[in-house]
Amino acid sequence: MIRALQHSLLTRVLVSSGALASLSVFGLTSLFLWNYSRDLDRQISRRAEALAGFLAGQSQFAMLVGDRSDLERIGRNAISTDQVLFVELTDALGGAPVFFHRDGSSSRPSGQHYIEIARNVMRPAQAEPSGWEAGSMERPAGPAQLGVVRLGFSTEKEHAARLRIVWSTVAMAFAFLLMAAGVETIELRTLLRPLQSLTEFTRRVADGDLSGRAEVVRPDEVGRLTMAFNRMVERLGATLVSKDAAEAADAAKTRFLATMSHELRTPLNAVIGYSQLIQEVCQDRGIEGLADDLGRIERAGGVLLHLVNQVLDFSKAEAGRIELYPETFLVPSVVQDVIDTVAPLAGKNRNRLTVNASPDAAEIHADLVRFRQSLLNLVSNACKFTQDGEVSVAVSRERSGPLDCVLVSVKDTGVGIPPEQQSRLFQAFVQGDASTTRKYGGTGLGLAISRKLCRLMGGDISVESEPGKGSNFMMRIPVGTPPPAAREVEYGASSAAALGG
Amino acid sequence: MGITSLLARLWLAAVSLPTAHAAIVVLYEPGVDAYSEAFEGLCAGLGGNAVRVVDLRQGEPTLTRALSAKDTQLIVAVGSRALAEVQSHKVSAPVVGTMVLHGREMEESGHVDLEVPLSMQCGAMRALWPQHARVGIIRNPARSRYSAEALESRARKEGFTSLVVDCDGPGGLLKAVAALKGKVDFLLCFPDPDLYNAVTIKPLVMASLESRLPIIGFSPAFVRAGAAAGIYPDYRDTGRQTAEMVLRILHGDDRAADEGPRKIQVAVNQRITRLLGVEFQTASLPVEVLR
Repeated sequence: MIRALQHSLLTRVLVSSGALASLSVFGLTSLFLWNYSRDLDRQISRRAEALAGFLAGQSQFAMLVGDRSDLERIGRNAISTDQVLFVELTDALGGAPVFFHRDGSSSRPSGQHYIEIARNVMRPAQAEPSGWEAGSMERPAGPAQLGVVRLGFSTEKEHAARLRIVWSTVAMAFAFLLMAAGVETIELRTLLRPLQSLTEFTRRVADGDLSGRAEVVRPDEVGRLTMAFNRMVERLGATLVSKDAAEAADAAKTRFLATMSHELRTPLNAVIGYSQLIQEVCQDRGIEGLADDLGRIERAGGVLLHLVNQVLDFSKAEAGRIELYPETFLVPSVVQDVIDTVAPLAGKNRNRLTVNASPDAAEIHADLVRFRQSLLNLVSNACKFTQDGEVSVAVSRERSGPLDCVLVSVKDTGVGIPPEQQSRLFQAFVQGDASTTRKYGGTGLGLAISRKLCRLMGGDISVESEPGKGSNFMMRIPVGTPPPAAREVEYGASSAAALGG
Repeated sequence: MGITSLLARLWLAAVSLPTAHAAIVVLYEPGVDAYSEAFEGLCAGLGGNAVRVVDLRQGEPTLTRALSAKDTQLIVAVGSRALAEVQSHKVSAPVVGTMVLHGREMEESGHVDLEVPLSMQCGAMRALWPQHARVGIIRNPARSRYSAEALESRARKEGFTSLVVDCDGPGGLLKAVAALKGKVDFLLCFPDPDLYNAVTIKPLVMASLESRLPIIGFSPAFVRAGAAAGIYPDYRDTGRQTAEMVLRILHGDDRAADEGPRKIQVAVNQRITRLLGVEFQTASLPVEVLR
């Protein structure tokens, strides 16, 4: 029974509503029977009391004057009244009681249901003494009570009626409860059938069958649940299709990136490599006139390779395919390396490069290659967009919320960026405006890639700029926590391995 | 039916003569104790005279035959009903009514009535309840042979003050009692079937108790019914008195005699007197105390 209660909603509802119905029905039945019984008892008592009072009134005179024959007459008449079992009239002033019993016996009935009512017969009220009795020495006017009327009133009829009512009421209550249970069972089964078919449908969906739909039997709560479930299954099916497509697209993108990475870089590397080789051969053989052309080929190839790398990097970043390889390294070393790399570009635009590194911002645990790539992009841009100015790189440590960060600030005295363009600066393929692209070239992916890389490392890039006065690009990277067994990696060895492509 | 009645029946059986030899016809209604006592006294007084007893219940033919028999010398009617029956027949023999309330004028008839003279009643009350001399009387003008003034005068002669209230029917009885309440010591009732009967006796006794006004009745039955006391004729002696009248008439004397009772009896209802708080002096009189 307990298992059924735990595992079956039908059983629980039936048991609880059955218990409630039983309590209500039997409570009401008991209340009705109690009221009925009480009313019946009151009726009997009233009738018996009324009859006893009547007999007392009738007997008063006979007891007053001591008329036994009249008492007997009264008793005889009383015993013939319906339900009177016995009558006993006792004269208080003497004489044996007058006793009449319905069946002629001389004793109280036994084994029968009856009530006994006694009523005192009082002498009539008398006027206050006046005349001869006022002030007289006469003794008081006798006892107040003339006698007693005792009446045995049969309650057999009422008892039988009471039993009949009790049995019939209880039987009706049981019948009602049985009918109610039957009706409720049928109704609950009807209500729960849609839930059961929904449960079956849910099992099929869980097993992967999204083709079917649960039947909506009625537009009630269960029907609305079924409709909602059907909609959910439809969306689940669509989502699964989209997911498959997305996975397929993602797989295709990964294959494309891998393929394009190889297919684009390979010929470019060949172009760059062969141009270098031919320059060396020409130099060895003293062939003049080709060095400039070969140099151009090599530079163009390098630029194209850089552009291809940028596009591939961006695609990887978009696809979430960039993996980071955190390691502990010294920031000032990387900064110096970047400065050395962009020195020719800075010299080309007659810019002065300065570095200012705070001693507490020396070490960081992050992806060295990506850190350098982002920094190189910022410093290159600064040098590119500044002429006859200054590009300074400052490294410091700061607290950004709960994290300690290294702040690398690349400040230039270049053209500056208008405010309306600053918001679009980190969007892919956006450089400022069309004139910037024509004048300075580039794909517009550098800052977008740099920001993605910084965010991957847990940091970010922000800019402050004023047209005509220059810009300040700030790169914040969390200092990071090296794993317990982490070793310091030397900058030169790790960067060579990472640049392999 | 009491023992008196039984003895009367036995006596009847003993003295009754066959129709052909009867001389004195006694019209008699058995079943009434007072009549039985009177009949006893009558028969005892008549001695060896031939008596034919006719039961009133026997029906008209028997009655007529008995009353018109040639050998009937005298008819004695015991009770008012018997007297009325005789009066309704044409009879030639003299009639004596006994145990009647008051006699009716009838030619050549005498009667012994039940009305105890007021003087005898006052005398009995003086002995029974000394120091209480205020008497109330309810008088039925239709039946009473005395006026109110006459009754008051008679009471005064006996040393009693009286208050007489007229009441011409049972409807005014309780009102009459209420009028006497507090003004008299006791209520004296004279025989009157209109005023005092099985219907009126109960409310009268209740009023008597509520008003604390003792009733002095005129028969033992009245006393048993609730009167505090009763003063009534000695029925047996009335019968003897009737027998003496019969013998006188048979001997040619005094045919239209009108007599009242010579001897009285007194009864006291002890239960009622206790309820009223009254103490009668029963030692000074031959009083029958009913408990």
